[in-house]
Amino acid sequence: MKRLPIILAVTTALLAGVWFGARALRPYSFHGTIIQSPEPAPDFTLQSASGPVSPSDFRGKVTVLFFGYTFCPDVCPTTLADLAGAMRILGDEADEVQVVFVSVDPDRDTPERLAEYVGSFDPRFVGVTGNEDEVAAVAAVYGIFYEKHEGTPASGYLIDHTASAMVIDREGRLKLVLPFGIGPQDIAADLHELLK
Amino acid sequence: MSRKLLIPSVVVLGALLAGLAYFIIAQPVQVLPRIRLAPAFSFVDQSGTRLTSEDLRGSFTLYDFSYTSCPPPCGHLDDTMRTVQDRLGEVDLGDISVRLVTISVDPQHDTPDRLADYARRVGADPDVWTFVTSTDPKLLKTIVGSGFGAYYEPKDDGTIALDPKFVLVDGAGTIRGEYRYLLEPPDPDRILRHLGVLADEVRNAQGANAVAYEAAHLFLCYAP
Amino acid sequence: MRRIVVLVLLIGVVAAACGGSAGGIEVTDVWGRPSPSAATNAAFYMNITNGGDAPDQLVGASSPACSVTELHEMYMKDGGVMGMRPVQGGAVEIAPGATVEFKPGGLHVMCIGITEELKPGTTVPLTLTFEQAGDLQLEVEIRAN
Repeated sequence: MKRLPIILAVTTALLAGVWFGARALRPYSFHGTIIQSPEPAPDFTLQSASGPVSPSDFRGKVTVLFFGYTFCPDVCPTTLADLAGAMRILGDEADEVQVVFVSVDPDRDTPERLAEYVGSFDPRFVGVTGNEDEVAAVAAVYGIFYEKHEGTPASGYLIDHTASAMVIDREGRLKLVLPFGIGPQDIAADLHELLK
Repeated sequence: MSRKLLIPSVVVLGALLAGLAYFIIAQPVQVLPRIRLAPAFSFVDQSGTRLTSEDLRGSFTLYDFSYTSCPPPCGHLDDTMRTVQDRLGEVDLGDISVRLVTISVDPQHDTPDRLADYARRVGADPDVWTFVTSTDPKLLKTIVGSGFGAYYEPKDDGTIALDPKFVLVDGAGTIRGEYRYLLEPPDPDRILRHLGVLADEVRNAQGANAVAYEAAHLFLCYAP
Repeated sequence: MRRIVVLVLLIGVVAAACGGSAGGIEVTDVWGRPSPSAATNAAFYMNITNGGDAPDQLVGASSPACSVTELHEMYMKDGGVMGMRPVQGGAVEIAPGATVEFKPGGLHVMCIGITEELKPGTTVPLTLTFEQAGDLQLEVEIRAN
């Protein structure tokens, strides 16, 4: 019975090995919702301050689309700040990520205004918009619902909009939907996984 | 390596592999793929009321695309929708509601009144099955064509070329099922079964079961 | 006597830099995000605790950094559409013993028409007006998160 402690120790080590092995093999669990589309994400062309921009321009990078408007005081700055935080966490890897902010308020958001706005969160961010019909078509196919509603005389009209961010992988497929408010760490982790 | 070490390791590894093989081959958990994002829209229904994609959040929605002056095979589309409507009670949906939405691709002629007449004619239960169209034909084409992937094209003789299909959308606005009429005959049984599969996934969205459902997505354990 | 007055004033100034209190109302962690001048609007966040025995209400706010200041809340419909609206009745109830959080994705003081760029590391003055406790002078810390 001298061997009993050895057997116990070996069994424990083995179980621990299997446990850690299984954990390492376990697939990464995304914080956003994975979309398994085999087709490319819908392409479009909208205007930035430095010319036309299409998601297909960023093939090879991971592209994050977020829809909002610059008059938006809470949701949009929070999401853009979270995305900027994720870019900082990603470090050098962030050069492989392109954040595109699509304004659903073409009446008030000019490309120049958008450039200054998104640039204040991260200079690599791009802000785009188009005429009302163009923006409506882009938002519709990305499942982004938005509508104006009356604000107060001071605030002017406000816009309700879907606040999830859409992530397109390097091959141009829509891969991930990030819900509002998941924070920079989780966003960075998901983007890091897509960059592998 | 001693034999004492070898045997338990082989047993444990074997059990793991057997478990994985069971999961992939026997597919104890089946899901529907998350195919694409469903488009966002704001339409007008047969009573003149607005219906938006947001109103349908949280419900499972079965869409089809048609128009009131459509010759057969549109009749078969309506029959399938009505069969699904009438047999919803057979599916264990819990407290999830199911909506049927027929989107008219003929906004020029299909006014709310005409849609209301048509809805009565095909036996639509107004609480379940809604008929809608858009005031913006261009945006409608984008939503139906690019968003739902349903092709249609008005022809010179006034009829509309149509690739009939059904689209099943979950409560989060993701397309989970596409049933193209030209590839498979309309099959209400299959659609009803798929509604049950979706409801199962919603019921198991928390805790350990959620892991099994995510694994089913990963290993493409799709319900037939 | 004069030294005591100075001391009290000093404590008041120090307290105002990170929060403030009056009539049982205590306000902590007052902050807002940096905003470029292109932003037009901004939001201020804070925690408001009512340490008193009687209910109070936040009824208004003002700041020289904003053309107009309103109390807003974010709302989310099923599944992701979000919007902002003025709080109902224009006031936020602070029950005795309760802490009400103004935070991203919830209640916020909406700063409409920022009069200057809100730069990180700076502060801007903010006055909160309570029905019972009266006016409370605060400083909003401008920081990224």
